[in-house]
Amino acid sequence: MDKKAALGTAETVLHFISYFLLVAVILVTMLSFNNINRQNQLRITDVSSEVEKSAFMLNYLRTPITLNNQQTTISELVALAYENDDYKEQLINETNTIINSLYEGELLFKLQLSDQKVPKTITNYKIAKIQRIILSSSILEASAEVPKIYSPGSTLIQANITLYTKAAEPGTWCFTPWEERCSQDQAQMCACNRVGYRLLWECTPCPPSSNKCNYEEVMCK
Amino acid sequence: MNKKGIISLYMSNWIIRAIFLAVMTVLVLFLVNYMSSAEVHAEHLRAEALAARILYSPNGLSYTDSNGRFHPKTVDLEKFTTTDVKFQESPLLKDLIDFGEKQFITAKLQLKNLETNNLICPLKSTACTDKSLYYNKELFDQWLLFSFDKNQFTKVDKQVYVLIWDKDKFVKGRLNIQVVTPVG
Repeated sequence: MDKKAALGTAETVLHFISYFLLVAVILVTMLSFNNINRQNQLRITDVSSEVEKSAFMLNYLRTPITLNNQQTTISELVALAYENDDYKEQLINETNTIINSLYEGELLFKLQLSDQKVPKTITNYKIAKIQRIILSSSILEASAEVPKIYSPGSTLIQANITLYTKAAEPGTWCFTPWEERCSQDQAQMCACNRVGYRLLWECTPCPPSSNKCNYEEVMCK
Repeated sequence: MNKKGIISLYMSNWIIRAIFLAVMTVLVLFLVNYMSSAEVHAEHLRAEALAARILYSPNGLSYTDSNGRFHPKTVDLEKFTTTDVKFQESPLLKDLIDFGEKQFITAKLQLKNLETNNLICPLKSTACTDKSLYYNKELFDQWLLFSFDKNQFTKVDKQVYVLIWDKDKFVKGRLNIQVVTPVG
């Protein structure tokens, strides 16, 4: 090949490379804009879910209860249970009633209380038993401050509540269609039908023929 | 290479380049069109906004005490039961959520007293068979029939833990809000 032909070929190759580069730059730019758009949508959802969480916590803490034959609220029971283990059982029972009647299922909760010095955790489950399940299935996490009225020191107790789904019975709701979340007593369950806004799915057993969940195939109620 | 040979080589190169450029241009135009014409779905946002307006507005169903203190995310039973008997629609909600002629959202509200585990009838004077309070009942019934068509309508169910103000005290309650709205 003479010198001119060699130059011509090199020029052609460079042209093609430049086209590819052009397309690549445009693609990267558009994908990054697309990503920003999605991030914005996620932000809107996050904001609304934060409000929901706070509102749940607010209503939870001001739920009326009877304590020592007197009408009061959960927040007072929280303050008492932080100081005195005798009230722990009642706090667990009252919280169970609230969360389970709300979601019509059997939920687990972890209530972490702290006055910035002494942390205390109250749960309605034994941690070691279901650690694997609960680690991946927190459905709500909210926090608030409760006035500390029964002991000296800091004036507030930081209360964090986390709700978890336990294994779901058929027909009850779970919160994502993950296999481990819908299994109980070794029986694999499937979740396929979104029954609530964003979070809730309905659990149904797997078809007998399948060993693994196929959410699309399962017929839901 | 003679002059004719060089010209034909240049010509063939340019033809390939032109075809390649055309293909790339079409591809870029397709991508731009695809990216820029993304459909915006605001059904869930509309449902959230409706629920927020009902529960967080002092003019909604929530309770305001005698001192003027507003209690968000509560339901005042007095407000809930001021329902039009014929259509089971709340005049209060009609005033609160007024989109004028545009009707693009409907809702059904069911309030359950978690202490008695019963749904609360929204009618004050008469017993009701359907213990639901509606916003745009006529449209709700129509749209609900077609809500199986996911391309036409979206049905959003929302369960909210509320406190019900019953005469002089709060009781635990759950408000189920079912919203049916056209897609888009």
